[in-house]
Amino acid sequence: MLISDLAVTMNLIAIALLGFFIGALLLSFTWLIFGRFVSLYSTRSQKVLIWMWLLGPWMLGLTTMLIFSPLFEQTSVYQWIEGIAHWHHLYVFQLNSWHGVTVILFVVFSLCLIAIKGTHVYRQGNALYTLKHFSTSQHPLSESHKVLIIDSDVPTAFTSGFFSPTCYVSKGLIDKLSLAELDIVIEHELEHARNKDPLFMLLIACLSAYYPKKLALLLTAKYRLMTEHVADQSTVFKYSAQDVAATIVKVVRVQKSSPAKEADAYLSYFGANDITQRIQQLLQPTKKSIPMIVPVIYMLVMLCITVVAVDASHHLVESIFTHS
Amino acid sequence: MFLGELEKQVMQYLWLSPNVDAKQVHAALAKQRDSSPNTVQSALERLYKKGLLSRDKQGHAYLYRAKIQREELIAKLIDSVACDFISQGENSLVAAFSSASSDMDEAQLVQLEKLIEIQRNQLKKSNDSAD
Repeated sequence: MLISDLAVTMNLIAIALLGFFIGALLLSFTWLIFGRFVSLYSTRSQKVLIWMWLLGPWMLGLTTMLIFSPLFEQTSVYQWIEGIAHWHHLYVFQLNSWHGVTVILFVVFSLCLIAIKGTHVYRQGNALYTLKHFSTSQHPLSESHKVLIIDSDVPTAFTSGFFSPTCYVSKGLIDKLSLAELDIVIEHELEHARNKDPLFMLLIACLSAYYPKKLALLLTAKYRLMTEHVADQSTVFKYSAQDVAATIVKVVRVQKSSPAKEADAYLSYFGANDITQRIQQLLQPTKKSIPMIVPVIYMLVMLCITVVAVDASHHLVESIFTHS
Repeated sequence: MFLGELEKQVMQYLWLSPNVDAKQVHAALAKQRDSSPNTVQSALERLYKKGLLSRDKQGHAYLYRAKIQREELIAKLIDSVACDFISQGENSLVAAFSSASSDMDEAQLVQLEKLIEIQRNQLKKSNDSAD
């Protein structure tokens, strides 16, 4: 049994975790009800909403922890909140209680997640390093971000690297495109590099891993689509939306007819639906934006529910299991 | 998949001249770099273990040749940069322009092209009438 400062810290972590789980549960249900309406809004609004979903449980957990923490013990707000919700053993913590178990499980899960993602990043880094050996020349279009040309017939273009992303275009794709089409592809990829999209995709993949698998995949796929919309839109200043749309269709066609072995395996993570949505977004952009006040108010309501739910679930579980 | 500078040079040499032993590889690479015969030998061993080379014993020495062609190796590298995450049901960490979507068929592509064409024509018409 722990008493005093360490116990307070452990209790606060347990509160944060309980708040985190309740927050994740609430936000998962919200997705079930409102998720389908997210696509109606502009790219910017959708990005904000995805971040709200991903950071939501962390914000709810941490704010709940702050509310229950002894930091504000002397204030009148604390007294008022304590009337509604409180943590009845802030100065005593038992490791072999359900709080201890949840903290340990969460730490183990997070460490596993870091290890798995770390391995992926390391393996990808190795492959990239080797691929650079076979990338011959550099595109002179951009100074700050490199464009390398891969000496391969596989028609592909992608951006990779977390802190200084590099764009890669294969000879196989360059040979099949006109100069204007190639410029669209490169501009699109440079926008990914400027926005550091690979880094954010890693962050999103890590944050979404705490959600149920189905929702996690939906959120990451949606975020990826938004980065594509932004990159597509960045080329529309120089070219017409129709030209950009036509280039996307052409590249998909080139990739489909590629004689390369296992052609389906290469970068085949854009479903038919994604390509169609990108074309539609280019031809008829959705401009409807969601007022920022909506997610803010929504999160405040969620916070109130979380604080009350943390208290209620704490009492409920402890009426069944005791701490000892 | 990770290849160091020496391993890459060995592969490049073996793509041009197959069925050579470690001594010949060392002699050929001596012009480009200053590596000891042992270093070259262990690079060959590593590449063999990675499944990139095959070898036959001839007398006391092994004769090495590339098991995978240059183009195939690059395709494999592109694959491991881009697809490592996908096999595990997750999204890749690269931002690709597009992909040969397995569920995108010819009819859908034709339909998208029609949509683009229709809008092009509409814009042209409205521009013409504005003039």
